[in-house]
Amino acid sequence: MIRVENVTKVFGKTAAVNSVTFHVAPGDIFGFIGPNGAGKTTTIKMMATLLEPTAGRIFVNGIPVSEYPERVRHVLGYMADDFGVYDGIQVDEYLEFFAAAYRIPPARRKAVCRDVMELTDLGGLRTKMVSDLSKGMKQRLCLARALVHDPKVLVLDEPAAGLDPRARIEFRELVKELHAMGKTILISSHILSELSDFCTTVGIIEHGKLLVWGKISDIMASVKQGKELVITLAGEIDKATMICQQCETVQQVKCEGNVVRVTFSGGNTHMTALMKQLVMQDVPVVGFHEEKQDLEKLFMQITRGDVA
Amino acid sequence: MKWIGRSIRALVRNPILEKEVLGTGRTLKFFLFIVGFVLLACIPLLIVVAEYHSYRTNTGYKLFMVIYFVQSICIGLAIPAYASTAIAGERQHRTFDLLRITVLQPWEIIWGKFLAILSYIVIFLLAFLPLVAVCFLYGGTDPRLVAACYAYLFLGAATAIMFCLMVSAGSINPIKSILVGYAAIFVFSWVWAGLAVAFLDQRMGFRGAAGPISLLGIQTISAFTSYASLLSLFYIAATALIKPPSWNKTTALRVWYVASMLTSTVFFFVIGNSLWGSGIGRDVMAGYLISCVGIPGIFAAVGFCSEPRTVHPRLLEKAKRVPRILQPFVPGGFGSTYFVHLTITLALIVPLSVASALSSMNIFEDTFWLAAGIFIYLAFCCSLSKTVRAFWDSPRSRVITLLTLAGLMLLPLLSLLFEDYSRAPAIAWIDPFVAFAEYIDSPGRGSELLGRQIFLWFHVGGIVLLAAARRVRLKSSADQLATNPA
Repeated sequence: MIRVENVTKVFGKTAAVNSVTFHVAPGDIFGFIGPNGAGKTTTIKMMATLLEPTAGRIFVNGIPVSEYPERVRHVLGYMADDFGVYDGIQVDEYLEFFAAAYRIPPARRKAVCRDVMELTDLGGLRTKMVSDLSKGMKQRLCLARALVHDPKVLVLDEPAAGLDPRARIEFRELVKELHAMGKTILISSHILSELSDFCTTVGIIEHGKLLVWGKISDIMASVKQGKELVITLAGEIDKATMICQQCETVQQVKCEGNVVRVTFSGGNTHMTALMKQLVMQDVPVVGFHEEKQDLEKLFMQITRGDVA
Repeated sequence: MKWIGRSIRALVRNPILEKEVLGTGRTLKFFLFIVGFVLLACIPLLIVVAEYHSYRTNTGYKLFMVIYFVQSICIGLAIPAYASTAIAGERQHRTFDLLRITVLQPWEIIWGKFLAILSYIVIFLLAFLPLVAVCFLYGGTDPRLVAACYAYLFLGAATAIMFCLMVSAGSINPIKSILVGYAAIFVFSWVWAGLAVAFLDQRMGFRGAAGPISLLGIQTISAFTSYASLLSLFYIAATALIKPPSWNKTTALRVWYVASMLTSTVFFFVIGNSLWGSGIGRDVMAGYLISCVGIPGIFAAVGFCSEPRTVHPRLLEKAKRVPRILQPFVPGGFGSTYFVHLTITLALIVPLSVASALSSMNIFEDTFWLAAGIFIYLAFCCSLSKTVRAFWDSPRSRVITLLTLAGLMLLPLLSLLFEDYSRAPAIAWIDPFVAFAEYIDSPGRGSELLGRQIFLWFHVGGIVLLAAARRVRLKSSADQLATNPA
């Protein structure tokens, strides 16, 4: 649905985006992750026809963005990170304006706007002035605006920035609902935990370069050099460390108070054997589990840790 | 013909206009703004009424001039406040990208903003109507003077709005763009007011406007032309300033081309009119040198260099093998057509006009006019056929072309209905056969008609050719896309 091929964007002498390539399949939710200034917004703006790539090509729904920006705008809904709204008009007038700007016939406009308002839970605020809306509501209005022409692809740039926890949860549910409707969604965010909840694929960008992209499980499998075992002890830390170091499948051992963290390359059998050995040598084991790898850790592992 | 209908609808029903009027026009601030200006205008009016308490013949005229002056100041103050912030304000409020992401074209955005601000000005003028009506009670005010004054004011306001929009389109800081807008309006209004006062003083002597008002007709035409040209140039510039990045490929050339045509037309009128009567050859030479060589040459050169992809798609592969800067001149491309068009025009016209200027022999004049007329007419026919083929790439395109050309050739028959061609100006303006016939009867009148037609066909032909080039390119790219979506 979205194909970004060797895209580069240079501002003056600085390459904001450097030869970025990734694909988003139809129906996917793609999480675009990166620290501030990594090139996320620049890449998204190029997709949204607001910037032209210095080199490379972008296709949205098979349409080349540089050659057919108007066609792309018909199939793409874009929500900017720093969304602005027109304050002097009502919610329904705001949406009808954008419906007109997307050349939706006048006879269909009201119905389309009503549907979009219902979807984004703005139905009760139809006649409210935009200036009177809360930030969360304005953000919903912006999403409604992006949906007004029923785009196949949604590009959301930091949509949850500045929202309170409740508004974030509601927004996440809304994105899931849109995904269920068959929309292909590209979403960029700093809050990695909220992306890991619903993204099917991710791309991690830093200093304008895409470090890795693909399914989260595939990336984890390729990045991980071993499982991390967390062993919580009631004592005998040194003894436990020594036992772990003697094990062939253990790569690294780190002690953090009563917790021993073990980088482990073996399978379940080896894991059971290690636990048995600890117990048999009278090490007081309180807990023994494999650390779950989440998106946040993956991000820290892949990037050089310079998250803003 | 769908695009014609779309264009007309876009002109009349502009979403930006509706949104602006909703957002600004219904606010209390706007209402108070108008009321404030009207009340302000009442003060000098009352002073004049008190001074001219007894009936005098020119009281009404004086009153009207006072109101007109106050209206002009109010409008001059209001325009930068609204127009200079129109685009810069959108940028500041981060709503500009929301507009650009829609399928609205840059020219529609500017046009919508322009109409919205113009509508505020109309509301301003309407709000002042009761005061204007007071003037008529005293008599001595010619309705034609009122009409002409408002026509000037309206055109001046429209031009000023477009200028401020242009400044706003190129600015990210509304304050700076407001300051530039006010500075320009200040200079512009002094020049305009000076001319108006000089005109009124000379023609009316502040004694009413009964007799010499007929002269206003000539003045209005030239003023209208100047305003319309300036407005168009500001409009093109404003549109170009807010263009989305991928818009610049073919549109840049269109902008350059239309700008060059407009500029050349203005120069033609100005230079041609100022030199008229000093010798036909010199007129032609001056007009053509400036119109065909100078301004369009510069515009075309810049346009071609910035737009190497206007080559005919079928020759795109061939074009890729030549240096980028020469690509527009690959045979078959629009650039090459324009280039050949220009070259032949110059090759044909300049030597003849120079010779004509240097000689009093009629043979040069005759040759020049006939050759130029025929060439331009043929160029138009070629443009027309290319356009028709671009829109209907089928056998029926030939039929349409032939029918259109046959229709044009049949136009002289219509002229038979009129004894005098001056009664059928539209036909005389567009049909070269009428002009040739006129030329045989009366060389002076005929050459004038031919001269106008040359420019008409040259510009119209070029513009339709440009539309054709664009259409062909889009069609071909669409075909490529259909065969290879990736």
